Amino acid sequence: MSENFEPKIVGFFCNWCTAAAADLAGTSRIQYPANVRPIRVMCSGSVDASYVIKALLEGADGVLIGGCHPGDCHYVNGNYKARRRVALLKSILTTLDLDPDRVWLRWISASEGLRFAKVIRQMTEELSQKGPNPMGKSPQT
Amino acid sequence: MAKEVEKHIVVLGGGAAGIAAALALNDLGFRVSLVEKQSHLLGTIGQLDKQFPNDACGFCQLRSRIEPGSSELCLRHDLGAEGLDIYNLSTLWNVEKAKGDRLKLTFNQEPAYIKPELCVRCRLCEDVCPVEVPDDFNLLGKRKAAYIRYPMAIPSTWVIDGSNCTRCGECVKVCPTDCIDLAMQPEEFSIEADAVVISTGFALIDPSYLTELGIRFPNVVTSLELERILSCFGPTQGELKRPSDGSTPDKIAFIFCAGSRDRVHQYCSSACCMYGAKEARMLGDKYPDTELTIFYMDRRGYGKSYYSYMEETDVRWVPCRPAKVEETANGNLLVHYESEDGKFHKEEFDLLTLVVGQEGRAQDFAELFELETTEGFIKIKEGTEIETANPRVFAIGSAGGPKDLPDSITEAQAAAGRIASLLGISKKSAVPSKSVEPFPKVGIVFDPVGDGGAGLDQDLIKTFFASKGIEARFINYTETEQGLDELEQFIKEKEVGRLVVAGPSPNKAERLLKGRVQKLGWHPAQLELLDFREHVIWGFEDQSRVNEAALSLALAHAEKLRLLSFEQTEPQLLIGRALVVGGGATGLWAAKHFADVGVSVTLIEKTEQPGGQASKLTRTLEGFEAKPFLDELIKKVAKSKKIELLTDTTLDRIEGELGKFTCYLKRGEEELIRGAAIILFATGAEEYEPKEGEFGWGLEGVISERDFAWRIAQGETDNLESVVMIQCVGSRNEEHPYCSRVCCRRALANAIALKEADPKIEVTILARDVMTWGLSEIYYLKARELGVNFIRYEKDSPPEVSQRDGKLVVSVYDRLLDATVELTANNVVLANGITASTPPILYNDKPIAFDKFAFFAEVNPKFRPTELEADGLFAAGLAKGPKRLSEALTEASAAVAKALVFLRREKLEPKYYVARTNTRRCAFCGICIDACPNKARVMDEELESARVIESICQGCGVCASACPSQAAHLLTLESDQAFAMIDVLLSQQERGVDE
Repeated sequence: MSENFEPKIVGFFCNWCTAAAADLAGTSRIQYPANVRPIRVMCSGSVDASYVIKALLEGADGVLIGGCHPGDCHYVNGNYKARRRVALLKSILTTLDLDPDRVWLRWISASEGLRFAKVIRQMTEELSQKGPNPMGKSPQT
Repeated sequence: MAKEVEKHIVVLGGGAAGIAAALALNDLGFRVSLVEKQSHLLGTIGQLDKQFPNDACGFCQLRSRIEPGSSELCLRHDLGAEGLDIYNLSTLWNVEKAKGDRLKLTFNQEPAYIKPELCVRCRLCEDVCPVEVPDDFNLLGKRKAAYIRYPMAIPSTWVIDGSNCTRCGECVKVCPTDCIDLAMQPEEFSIEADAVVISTGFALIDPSYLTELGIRFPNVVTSLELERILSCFGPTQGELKRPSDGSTPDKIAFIFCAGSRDRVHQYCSSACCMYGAKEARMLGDKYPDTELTIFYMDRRGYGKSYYSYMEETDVRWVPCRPAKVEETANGNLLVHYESEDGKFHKEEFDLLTLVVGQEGRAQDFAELFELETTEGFIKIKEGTEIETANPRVFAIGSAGGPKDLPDSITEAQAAAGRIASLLGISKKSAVPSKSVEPFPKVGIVFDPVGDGGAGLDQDLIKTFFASKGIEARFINYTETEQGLDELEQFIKEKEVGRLVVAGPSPNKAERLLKGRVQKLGWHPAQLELLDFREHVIWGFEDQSRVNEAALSLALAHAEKLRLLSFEQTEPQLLIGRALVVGGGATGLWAAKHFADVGVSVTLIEKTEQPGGQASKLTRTLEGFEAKPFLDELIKKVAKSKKIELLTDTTLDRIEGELGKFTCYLKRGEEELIRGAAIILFATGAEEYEPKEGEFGWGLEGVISERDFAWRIAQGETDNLESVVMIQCVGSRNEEHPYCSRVCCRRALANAIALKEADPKIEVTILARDVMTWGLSEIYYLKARELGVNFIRYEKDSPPEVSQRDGKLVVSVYDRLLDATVELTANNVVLANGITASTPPILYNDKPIAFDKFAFFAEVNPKFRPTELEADGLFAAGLAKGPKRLSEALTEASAAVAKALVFLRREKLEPKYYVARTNTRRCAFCGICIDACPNKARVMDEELESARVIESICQGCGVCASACPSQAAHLLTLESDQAFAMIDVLLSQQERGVDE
């Protein structure tokens, strides 16, 4: 594994919580590794399984879905639906020869800028250990 | 038609209640000025991450869902409303009468020393500011003199605290937009208001006098300090550390009623029992091994779900008020207390929290408006919760007495309802639909804040996008007027039809930027904001990678915009009529409200007479006579031409949706049909009927509290020597796990009336906890003064009632005496609680959901107290849970305010934040119907497809991801857009900029 390996993380961040937490981290200058590329979604429950699979097939080393803490969902229970979907998805990823541990679902509330940064750091570290997603095209030289 | 003069409402105080009132009024089309004394809005609620009873935030739910902005804005970041002006740092100093019953209010605005229109939130001023002062937000830390109260505050701009600033000028040197002016002077401004809402809230009591409770010791914190300690952006970043040594405490105690119900503050602060319990729960959740103890006087969980909330809180409850707190050598706290059995204890804790109460601070405001006060709270008109002696001035939340959050929000929305019926409301016409054509030219504007992002290579970025055929430009400070002008110029010059702004967060700048492009005739969706500053420039620790991120993120969003295309549907007509179910006080009051603003209403009552439970009431504890009020109300309703009153009528079932419900009514054998845009349930509740033998029910002389009140009212107290009252009959038990809210007050009213009629009558009240929250505590004190005896009993050792020698005998275990005492009585008065009697109603063939207590279930107990799960359905009064008459009326007004948001519209407008169904693909399976959290999806038999009610849909997209046939889709992120973005992000990121 290359020492310079920088994992690529695609983030699907709920507009109400995780995207705002990332904002807060920024405004508070709580910094985190530059490995995440966020896509703002309205609800973690709207993240289609095909988006996650697509990202992994296109070579993402990790996919992070950020949703509201249980009970906090702006849409009542979208985060629970996300939880169920991710659990199911993880169980089928193995059959596609994809690594389920590359998909993370985390609850990060709008005020948890610090937690956001911690999660990105932790995920980057764990993915670095894991090495590149074998589905990806050849890693950087 | 002559243009209506815009009605202007001033809301004084920008805490939770003030914001709720401002939004509710704004939703009704009023011009609203929200004036706040502090630098930023959100008062105490800004300091609370989570609030009871659902231990979540949910502030975003304050806006009615059909209003623009409700689908995408966190209201802690931005209130996002046209016609709602916010004034911070402003204090009211003069009130005078103006033309036509208006009030002219004059304010003094302290300078912020920072021009908000130029502040770009770069934080450089704060970074260089050398002055540190105690942080009044996080409480246990320091802040600078140049500061923002907390990162997402409203307004989102920094201010300089003039009283602490040394005028050193360091901030002026670093400010990139020259927005700091240290010579700024206070300014005066005046507003002529048609009505005023006072929502000045409370001051937290100053605990410094609580020396016996150890306030001077470092490890004794107030409940608000604990709240900040537990907050993830608090002084310890959410880690529980005790102030003296930073260690994690294992044994924590709470003392309730610190600074309430004592010699200084005789009243109860209403909210503390619950928020204290909430803090204990938060601690328990996060640190399950912590040992938690609560010392309390009465467990005042008087709201619908509060009793079970407290029961479910895993703590040791000790009913006593500790006498003394000492500090040990290692900083622990030694609490001296006497348990109920009279034994003295000394117990050591690692951390002690004083759960502090509310202090009235409306004195100055009251004087300006010539209103009376009690203990610093504005005196409220009897029989109401929000009205004052001045019919144009309303006091909500803790301005009128100590309140908790759910009650404050209900009052705020009620104030909007009352003001609507006072001033009338303006009709809202539909905005023409606007569609978006596919494939125009896309442009990108980068706004990384000045030289922000040291590694940003402008040439590289421009060259890259030129190679992609995309216009890219760097513009500084797009949120300033000059930046907006440059942005507009770029759009015109390059003839782009879509724009990505990679700059400030949409939470702060979306409204401003989208507002500008809308003026150019754009649909707001044609502009996409990318949080480039927050997520990349300020967030990335490796600044060498900002270029790579700039390319991939901006290109991904450009790709998303390129694929943007949709046709807006037409607005839907709505039926300009309301249906109110239930002709009790709540229903009558609501119907009259609707009629006052010119809305036609059908009011149905199942019995032959309107009046409901209120017709059985005598005087309230405060001396309000219910009967004359009710008679007058019935008369007005009967006379109103706008109200169709149908007695002996019930609602059988409802079909249709918001705006066009079809209501099937039954009147004997006859079926009546009425159309309505909204339906309000005010179906009431029943008094609990004790079982035979329960607390002696059925024995001669055992009587209900309500009947007893009538006897007293009729003077039938002559032969009484002794009366025993038993509280919590059919309340706070397994069958009815909630407090019935009215009984303790009613018992006190009866007891006081008896004692005043004849002081020789022995009156004993057997209660579990005496529920006299807020200012009604004084009646508890008064009853004690008059010689009423109180004996506390526990749920598992209830009093027993029997008959001996023609007299009633009550035996009860008295903990203080550690013995069972026997009391003889002429009458045993039972505080029969309130039980639900909500009728089953079918809505589109499915029963409407009730809560676990069989009352109507509000969709959010704090912020949407009168709305049911499906839009257009409301509930108020006893139908929703136990309530006093004045509270039921308040709730009715709140429901009316929320209902008028729909009824003032001619048509319901579709929004852009919506999902749709591709009818050709729809397999009609119904999965999306169950997935939708807002009941915005229906099975359309004619179309043979699922259909979205666009006025209700919130655009979460859950249906789209749930749909197995990809028929359900979301306008704000279609799957082709998502796929394109993923493609770009991964290919660009991989290649990076080395290529």
